[in-house]
Amino acid sequence: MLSSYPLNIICQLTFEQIYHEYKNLVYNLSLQYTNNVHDAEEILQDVFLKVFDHLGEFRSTADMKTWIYRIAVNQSLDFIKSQQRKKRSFLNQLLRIDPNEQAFEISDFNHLGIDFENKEALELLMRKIYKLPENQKTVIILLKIEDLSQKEVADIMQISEGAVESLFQRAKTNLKKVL
Amino acid sequence: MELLKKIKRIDAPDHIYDQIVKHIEDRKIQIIPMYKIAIAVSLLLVLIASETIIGTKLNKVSQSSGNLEQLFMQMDNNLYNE
Repeated sequence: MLSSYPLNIICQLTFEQIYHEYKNLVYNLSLQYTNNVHDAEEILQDVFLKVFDHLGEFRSTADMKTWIYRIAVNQSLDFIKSQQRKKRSFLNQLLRIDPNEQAFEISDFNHLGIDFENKEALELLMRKIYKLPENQKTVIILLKIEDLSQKEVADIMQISEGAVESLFQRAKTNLKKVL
Repeated sequence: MELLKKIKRIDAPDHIYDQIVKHIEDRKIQIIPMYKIAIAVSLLLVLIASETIIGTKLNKVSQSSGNLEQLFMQMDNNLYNE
């Protein structure tokens, strides 16, 4: 695993090797946020362009997996925000469509990781997760879908483990209200 | 919440890496013309500034020569009246 290599070896690794090591991690994470394969592909590209641009700044003391997770989380959240801004358009307001309600809906649910057997229940759950505040959504995705530990999530989000637990409890409460 | 564990991991499509590399290459091509444009604009500004300064100095010299010529051309008989 690249993440446990010392700095001198990391320097020798090519961008291509890093891409192939982490592409599935980034792609699946983006898919949990957007629930759409085409959006996930776009985020995958954006994440690795950022990785390419900032590889020289990567600190040897930081874990590469954590660093790439952090970039992927931020890019996914930025992507969702830009999609929501587009939906809150002047035209929607003119037509009196509630811009806030529409902005928080997934318009094209296309998640290849969800099989037919569980489609209905999982799609409902993912749509509710999509509407959560950013921090709560991130904690649920990283803890329960990516199956990371509280410490790993805390490192990625740069918060304390206590804050991770607190966000998780709030997210659970919010999801119970709507399910 | 346990339902979320049933979400499967899928492989990223193969063509994405090529798209990323193409994007990086395209960005490199765009950067070069801007750099050349900046050099060209700087040279142009230097030329204009030089021409303005040199032009101003030449005007001053020609004005001075004009004054001398006028002095010689002046019909002044004061010297003869002394």
